[in-house]
Amino acid sequence: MWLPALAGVVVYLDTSVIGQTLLGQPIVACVLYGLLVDRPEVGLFFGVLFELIWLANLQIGAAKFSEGSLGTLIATATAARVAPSEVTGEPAWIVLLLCTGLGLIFAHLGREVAPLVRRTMNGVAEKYVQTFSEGGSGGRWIFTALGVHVLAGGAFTLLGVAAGHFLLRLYFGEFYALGPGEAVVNSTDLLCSGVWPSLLGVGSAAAMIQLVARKDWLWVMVGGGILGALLL
Amino acid sequence: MNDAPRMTNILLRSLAVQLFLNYKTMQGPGYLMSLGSDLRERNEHKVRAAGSFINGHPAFSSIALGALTKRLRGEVTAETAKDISEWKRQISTPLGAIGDSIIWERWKPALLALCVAAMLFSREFAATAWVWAVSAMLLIYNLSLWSFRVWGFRHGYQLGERVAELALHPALPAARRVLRILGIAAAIAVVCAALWTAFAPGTTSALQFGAGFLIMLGAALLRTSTLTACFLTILSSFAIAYFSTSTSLLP
Repeated sequence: MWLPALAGVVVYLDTSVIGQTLLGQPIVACVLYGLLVDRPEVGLFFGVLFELIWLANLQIGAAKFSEGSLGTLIATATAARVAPSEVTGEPAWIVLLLCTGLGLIFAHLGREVAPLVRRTMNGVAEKYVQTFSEGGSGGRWIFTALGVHVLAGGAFTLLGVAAGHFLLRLYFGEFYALGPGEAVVNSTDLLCSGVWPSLLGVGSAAAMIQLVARKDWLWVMVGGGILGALLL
Repeated sequence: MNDAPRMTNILLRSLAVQLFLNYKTMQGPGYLMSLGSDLRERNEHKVRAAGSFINGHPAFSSIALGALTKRLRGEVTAETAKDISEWKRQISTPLGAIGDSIIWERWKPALLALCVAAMLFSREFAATAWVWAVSAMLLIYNLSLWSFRVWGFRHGYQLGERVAELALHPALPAARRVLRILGIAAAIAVVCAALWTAFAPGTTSALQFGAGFLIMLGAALLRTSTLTACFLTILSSFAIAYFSTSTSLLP
């Protein structure tokens, strides 16, 4: 549990507090996490999918925003705990689907994290300015502010991953760490595998909405469609 | 004695300009933390002026930091501190609007989208492609923003109070044109790569992709949340699978 929490802290700090270097973006952080736990395919699946879906999720000014990166990390960390399917040797689609839902819900719940942190920071910031104007370094308040962010990122991720484990245990029973059995995979793979192409569709539309002005949407759809068809 | 501001020190500290982000003064205390080492005589007026309300794009904060450094080097009384606070409030709008529209809305998502397209195109070599694409993206994004921060600080310091003039810089329309083309290219690359990936397995997969695409477009037009769009899409993928396949789970 400590690894997802640590990764959550890094992702949270990079996404909204320090540097904003893109290290906390799903396509970077989730694949790195996947590599760390020796499940890069899980990291790539969620990294690619959620990066596109949350591309239009902008953290601007005082507006509320979904914690898309933390949600993706929660989905990746939860799915990576479940062993690959016995049948295909790859992650079972039912696991990926459940974790996708979990990641989306937690990303949405994360909309309340930033306002809570900012309200807490009202008092911390005031004390920092006060201490600085009195000749102090304000170091104590800098560490307090950092601590608030670390706690927010770590606790939120931990909550998400714990909820994910509980959910998967409910579904797979106490042997969920062994991976879904043949019966489960055979009966759910066909139905659940649709999560990949359908959410890829959502992600492509989200990328177009974010990157292109509405008057140019037609050009993108026609251009992308023709090029895609040529490649097929 | 060298009178130049310690630019690198200020810019490195400004990477954490959002540390104290709050509803009362937004990034203000972050500006104070960034300029802390450059405030020679620490009187209350200077500190209050440095820590007063300001909010803009973090990379564009370098412009305001340069200008603020210059203003705080002069004598600051209660009256000038009030002027500086008001001036900071006024420059927040252009700093936020221009920075967000250029970096948050175009430059960052375009690079990320190109990176994802590279992953989708490389299929079974996605892991190798990830190493190269992500390294290149991180390098390009961070070097470009750091160069901009340096440029911004120098120009902000040079212009001081008149820093808002930078909003009329002739390079801005050209940058917008380039980013518009980059955005279109990145979106085409993503749509093309996603189509290629989703259509290859067969009709069911293609229909599911199409449904997801249309639902998201509809959600954007109706201003519905991404969460709702995603869950509707998952439900639609079940329906499409139900009508196009038969499994032991389904009648």
